[in-house]
Amino acid sequence: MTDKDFSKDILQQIKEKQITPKPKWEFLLKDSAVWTAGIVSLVVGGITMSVIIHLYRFDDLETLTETGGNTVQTILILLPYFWIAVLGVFVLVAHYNLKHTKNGYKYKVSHITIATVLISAALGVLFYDTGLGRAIDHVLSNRMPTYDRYAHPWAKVWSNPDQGRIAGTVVRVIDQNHFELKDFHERVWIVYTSNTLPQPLQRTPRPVKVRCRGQAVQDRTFQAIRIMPWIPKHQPIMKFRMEGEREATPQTY
Amino acid sequence: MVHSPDLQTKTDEELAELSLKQQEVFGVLIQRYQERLLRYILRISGTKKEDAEDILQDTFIKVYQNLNGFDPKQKFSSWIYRITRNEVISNYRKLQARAEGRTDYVEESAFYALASDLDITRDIEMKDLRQTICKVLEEMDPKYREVLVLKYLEEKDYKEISYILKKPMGTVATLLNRAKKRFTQQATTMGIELKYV
Repeated sequence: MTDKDFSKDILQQIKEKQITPKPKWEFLLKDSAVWTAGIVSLVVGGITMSVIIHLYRFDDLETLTETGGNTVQTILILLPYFWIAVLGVFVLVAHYNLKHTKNGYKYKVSHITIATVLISAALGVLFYDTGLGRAIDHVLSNRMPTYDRYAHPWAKVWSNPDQGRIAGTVVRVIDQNHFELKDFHERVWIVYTSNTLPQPLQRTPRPVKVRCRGQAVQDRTFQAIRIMPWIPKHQPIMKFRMEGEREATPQTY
Repeated sequence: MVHSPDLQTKTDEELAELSLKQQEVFGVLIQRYQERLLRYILRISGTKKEDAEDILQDTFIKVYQNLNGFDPKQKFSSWIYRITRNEVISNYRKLQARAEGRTDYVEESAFYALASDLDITRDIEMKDLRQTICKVLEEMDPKYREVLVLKYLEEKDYKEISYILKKPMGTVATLLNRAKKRFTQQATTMGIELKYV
């Protein structure tokens, strides 16, 4: 095949160019970085999943289906696409990193994908039960002005005055029966109710977000039958239900 | 250059460990692998011998630089084949432009192994058999050629091929089955009549 002895040339080259073996810590660092990135992506994926569960455990689904559209359509509308896309990104990152660990090549792509999705889902349930999903949704809803409009699946459903649903921020309480609401399209509505407004709304310690069922009576005026918090209370999945305890019902103020 | 007879009795893994402390020991590993790896490069790339030799030199430099990254749970030979393959892949464009399309750097036994597994009769003269198999291999999709080369010409087992190609063992088995089918299809396409047992 070859009469040439490469060892002399190569050793000569190594000496001349002062080539040295890379230190062991460099390889350990690389391995640890890949694992860390994979685990962090799984945890972030789990957190994202907890927001998805929170958004999809929307207990007002029944009311929404009463208003027209069929259940499948409503379910599709309510899917939190933004968060599903975020989850997809982190599952991909986790998948990429796990595949590039020392032994990652041994596993099929489909197996790693299923494992990352399942781990994210399991972490998602755990995080959701601690209330993390709701907390993240709440923070983003309050801190990012465009979050509700573009990333919140309920915003589209609750920005429909013609079908008796509006939502947004209570900007001013006028009196016991009236308040001003700025919806997600920056339109200001006068909302009135025949009942006295609930206490939390009257006190308005800070801008409060609500959703209202009722009907639009004239331009920018809405008569509310029910006023509910924009983000419902947290309902753990794994909570033990005591004997006689009732199922969760749609929350109102 | 170290010519100690002691070194010749040492395993690859032991030599790799020693090379970290004594640069010259690496020369023994080079001598052990230069023939095999040069043939492997030529078989999977079909490039000119001079280009293959350049790749081989770069491969050994990479191996030396990465000695600390060698996982002793693996065979050293699998690890060095993996690095060689990566080096061929990173030079793929350059090699393709200068390819000669030669895969005939094969021993008789390897041809018989491939022919036997494909159920090709041994009645054909060795020279014809070698030419036939070479012609077909040269025309095959590199991903199928590569797995056939590793299995039959480099005589690697599934575990080693899995490590070298960075693919799960199940995928290697599937790839190998497909490669065998493609081999026969390719032969038919090329108008080569293979006599099966």
